[in-house]
Amino acid sequence: MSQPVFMHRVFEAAIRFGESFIYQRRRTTMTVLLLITAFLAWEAAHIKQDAGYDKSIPLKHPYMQVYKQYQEQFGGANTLLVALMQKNGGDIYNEKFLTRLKQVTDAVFFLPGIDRSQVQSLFTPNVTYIEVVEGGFYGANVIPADYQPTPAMFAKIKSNVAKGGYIGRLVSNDQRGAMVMADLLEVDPITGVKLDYGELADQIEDRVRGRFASPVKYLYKAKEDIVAGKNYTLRKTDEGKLKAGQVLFKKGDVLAEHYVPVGTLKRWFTDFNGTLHLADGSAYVVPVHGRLIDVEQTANPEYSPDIGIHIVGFAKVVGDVIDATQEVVTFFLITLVMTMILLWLYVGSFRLAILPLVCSITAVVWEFGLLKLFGKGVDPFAILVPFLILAVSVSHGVQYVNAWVGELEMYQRNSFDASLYTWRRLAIYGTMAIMTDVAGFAMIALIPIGIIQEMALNACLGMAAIIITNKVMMPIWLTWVNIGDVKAFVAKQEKRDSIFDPVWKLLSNMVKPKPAIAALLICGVLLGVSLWKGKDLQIGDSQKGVPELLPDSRYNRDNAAIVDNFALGTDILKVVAETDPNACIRYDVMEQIDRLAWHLTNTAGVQSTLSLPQLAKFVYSIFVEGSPKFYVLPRNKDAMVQAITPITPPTGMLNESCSAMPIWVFTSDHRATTINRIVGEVERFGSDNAQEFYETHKDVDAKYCDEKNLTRRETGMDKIALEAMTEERLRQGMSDDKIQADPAIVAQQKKLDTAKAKLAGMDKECPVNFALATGNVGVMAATNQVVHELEKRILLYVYIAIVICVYISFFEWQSIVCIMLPLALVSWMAYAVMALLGIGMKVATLPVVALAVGIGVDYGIYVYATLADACASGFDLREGYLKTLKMTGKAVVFTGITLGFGVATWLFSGLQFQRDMGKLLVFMFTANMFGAILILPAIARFLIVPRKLAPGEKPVFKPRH
Amino acid sequence: MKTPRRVFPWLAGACCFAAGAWLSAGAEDAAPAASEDGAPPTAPVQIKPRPSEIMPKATQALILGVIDTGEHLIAVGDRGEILASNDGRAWAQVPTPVRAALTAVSFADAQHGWAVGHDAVVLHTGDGGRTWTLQNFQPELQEPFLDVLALDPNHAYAVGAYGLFEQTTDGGANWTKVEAPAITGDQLHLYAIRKLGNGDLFVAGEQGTLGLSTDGGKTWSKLKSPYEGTFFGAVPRGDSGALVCGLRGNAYLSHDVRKGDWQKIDTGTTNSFFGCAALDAHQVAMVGLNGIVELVDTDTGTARNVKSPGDTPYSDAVPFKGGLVMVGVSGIQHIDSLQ
Repeated sequence: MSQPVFMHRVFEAAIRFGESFIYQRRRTTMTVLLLITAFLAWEAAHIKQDAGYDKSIPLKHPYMQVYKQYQEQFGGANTLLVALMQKNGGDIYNEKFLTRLKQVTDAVFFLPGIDRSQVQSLFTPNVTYIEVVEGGFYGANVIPADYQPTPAMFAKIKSNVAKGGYIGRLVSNDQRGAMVMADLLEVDPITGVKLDYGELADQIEDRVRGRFASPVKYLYKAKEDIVAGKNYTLRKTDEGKLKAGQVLFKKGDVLAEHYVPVGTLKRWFTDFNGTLHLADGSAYVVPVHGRLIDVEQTANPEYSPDIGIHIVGFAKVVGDVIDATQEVVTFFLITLVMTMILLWLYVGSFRLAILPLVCSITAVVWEFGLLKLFGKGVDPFAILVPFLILAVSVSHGVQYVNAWVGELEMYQRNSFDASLYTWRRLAIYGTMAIMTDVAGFAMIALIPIGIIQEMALNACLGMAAIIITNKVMMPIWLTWVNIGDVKAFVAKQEKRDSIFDPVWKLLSNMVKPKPAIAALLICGVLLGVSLWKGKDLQIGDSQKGVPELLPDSRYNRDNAAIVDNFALGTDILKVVAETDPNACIRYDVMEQIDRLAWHLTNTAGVQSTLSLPQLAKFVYSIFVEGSPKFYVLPRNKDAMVQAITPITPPTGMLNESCSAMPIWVFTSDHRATTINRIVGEVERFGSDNAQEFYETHKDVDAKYCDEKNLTRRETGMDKIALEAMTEERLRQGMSDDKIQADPAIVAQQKKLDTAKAKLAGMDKECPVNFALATGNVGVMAATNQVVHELEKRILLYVYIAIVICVYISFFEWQSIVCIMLPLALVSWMAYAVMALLGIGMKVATLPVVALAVGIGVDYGIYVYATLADACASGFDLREGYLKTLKMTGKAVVFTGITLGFGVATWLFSGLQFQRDMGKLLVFMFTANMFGAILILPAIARFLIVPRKLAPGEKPVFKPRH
Repeated sequence: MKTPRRVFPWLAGACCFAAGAWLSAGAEDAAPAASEDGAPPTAPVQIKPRPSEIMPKATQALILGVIDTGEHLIAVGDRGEILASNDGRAWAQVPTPVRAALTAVSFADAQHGWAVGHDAVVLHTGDGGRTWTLQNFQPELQEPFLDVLALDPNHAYAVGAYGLFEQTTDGGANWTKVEAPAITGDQLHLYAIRKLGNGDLFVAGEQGTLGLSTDGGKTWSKLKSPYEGTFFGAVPRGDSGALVCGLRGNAYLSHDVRKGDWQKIDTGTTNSFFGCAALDAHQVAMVGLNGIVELVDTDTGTARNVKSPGDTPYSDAVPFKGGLVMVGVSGIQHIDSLQ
């Protein structure tokens, strides 16, 4: 035994310490655990779903600093697009369509979380056009203030739309559709309240799509008179407004109207907000419980079948994923029930079969409860994490129950003793296996993206819970399990086991030299193929549309409809051209920006671009009577000022000081290859342009200009930080004077002033800095880069953590080789599988791959531990491995097959993400299983030397701890 | 794009910068100096012509002039782009030594031609448009040429903004100012210069400017104008007549320009016409704002609409194989048949 005495003592002490709780004070311990479970269950029941766009952003990435710096001026990446399309031919210039467009614009405007200053449609005041008249030019709103539905007005609007250049943006290419564009604010700047995406998505469906596209609407009426103090409990806030006994609503009064029905079950958990008119004439909202409400279905007068509505945006994706949650959870349950039934067949006892499941579910309850205590919510995109926790827990639970049955079988022990001996044999290995997982998951948190760190925390909490539920709760429970007639039970077990004996015999051949070498050769080939195929793995998305949803889901169809009909897509990259204040009136500056826009227009994957120079050219030509021959940037500074003046900062094309101008790049999709190509072009152009600039401007060089760009960024970041600090204090109710005097604010202000002064001092002209990037594609570009850069390194860290933990468990270098090699092979194969299935490596998939590694570690540790123990006890390799297979191997095989079958049902899920992960996990569960029972012994064949027995000594299996 | 290389297979390395910038005059005050608007002071930088960039979407850029040399179609436009086509569909971009927007092109014969544009650029070709040399580049002037007329391989005129009016009589070796105070005195934009059937030279421009030279360009007189708005295009008609088109749907026809018997054509639109081109002895195509295309029967003086407004502006057009090739803000487009 190579284990140092010190560690041996530690493990011994841990076992004895554990035993004192589990076996000596089992009632007390169990009571405490149940109380904690009850408490955590209560906490878990109050956990909130917590989706967010900002937390999926790698905020430290340089692109995202640009994103933050200009978010206020040029909009963020979190947009909502609503397109209206004529279904039966005809253009949009008629009363019915324009009325509908106005209604939808208003409906979008009043959605929660909408940045109202950024809403754009033909009906918003920020949408203007300019036209030439004799002796000058004239600018006005595209839809005149005196809009009347007359043919002459429709003709005028049509020509205004063309003059304003809105075709392809706010009006579809063929003028049969129109668009409403809006930006979302994730945190309300005044109240600091975070946007509830689920609520927003519901409202989008109800108030925007449902209202205009649903043939029916639902009236929610009072079932009976609603009387204050009787069936309506007065709230504190009602004081002075409502009196006890007052009839608030009469029977049959309509309290609410919805276009998407509120489910019968949901109605019991929903308050319907009825509006009362108080004596002073003001409206007052009274929440009435759903049980007092009846629903009535009527025709929807606003429904028009010939106008289609297409809605896309992050909020809709979140909404669709949340809507699918129920289905996803249902599939989890199917997986669990299948596992339980198979377990029942396997151990032949319902009570034993249900045990691992109860423990696993308890672990998830603890996980959610702890998550809530940490102040976090459940992210719909992290929905697989609890399932993986369940899977890991089931794997350990099955091992434990299996070992316990083995104790009964082999040594005819009673429940209590069997549990105790199982504990002594498996506690250390099992706990070390879980600790290994925890160490692995903790490493994922090194990726500086909020949602990944949340998932890592989530997984670590879940793992910690597994230690308690599987290594404390389960042993105690097993001591109480009464299997009745032990002899009969054992006989039944032996009979059942004997069915598989030939299989185990066959498998035990793996430790013979020839099969072992053959297996290792096959592994070599598999590794080679995987490395070759795995190179095709995409970082980021590898498909069009939203890969989490089915390709033919409504969202992806909506997305395709918008991309097909509009020049702009839903995928926008904004490159911010940064220069000195007021520099946008200089020809040479504008020319650089214009040329980049033209280069990008000519880059494959770009649908169109939009930038200040393009608009300035248009305005300049307007000043010269509209002649296309003046559709250029004027060299004359005064002419340039004229050309830029009509384009105001609210258009999002320039900032107030005219020192930053975004180039909007509408891309055809957001596949990683497309993004890389475009980002590469921007970088290439930027460096070539700077090089050219330095050749003609000898007074500056790259060093000076790089520093100037850094100073500009620093100024921006300091300003953002100062604003955030001020807002936070305002929310806390501090007065302006107090905020001004706050030492932190003063320090930050000073920092900002210093940076500003430094920037102002750097007055030598530099080439335009093309700063990447904002827009949703900019965010994806940054995320892809972070994942690409860190993914391999993180995996290395995960492996190092696992290696250390495995070594601590066994203190044998052989253990590392035997456990890690199959694991590494499966990881590489998983990459190849992802590449073959077209699944990209991204924020949502990376943790799944890492978590699935955890399952493999468990398998490996259990198999290796038993095999090494058997050989140390004097069994030869063949016998030792046969014993291992019967003791832990069969549980590994069982778990691998069961979980594999379970996740295979996911292929029928309505969520593409779950389907993809189903395929990936079927592979990971089964491949890891094969790795543990086929490859591990083949490697062990060459590394483990069985203990020589003394003459006449019979081998007796004895765990080393 | 359909294999543009097939059009000019010999283009493959035929880039030339021969003429270079030898004409580019003193650029002392070309660079933007430090000024009251707070822009940082900068050392004067001499503006050098930079070669145009060959781009896949060149045909979708701003294209301002198009001509049929008899051998190919040649179109000129933004960023020094010159494109050539044999069939009016597939176009190949030709390298040029400048990036300024080119506004017009004219050929004396199938081989010799000039293209002019912003930064007072004049480009010349002696090989049918395969290679182009820079004959003039004056960005500091801040005045563009807007039209060019090649009379023969040696003799050409170019008109432009603020009364810019130059000519060459030696194939472009020297470009000199044309003395024509009658039409350049007001410093108005001159948009078109044409040779009429009888050899008279005819200029049309801003504020109804119409100019005529009956002595081969030696002296110029200002004609009485039927309209006070801008004329963007002109087409010779018959022996001594012309059609002019311009701002807000205005077009006038004269059978004898010297007499000045201008007759207003009812175009039925207020969309400006930015260019016009002769289809044959009887018909003229007019193109303009919002993508309007109209045909004028110059025998009867009546107009009919061929393409209604609802598109980006066109700048010029040329008849080709029974159809029409239009160029403008969204690049090169075509109508297959004008029937």
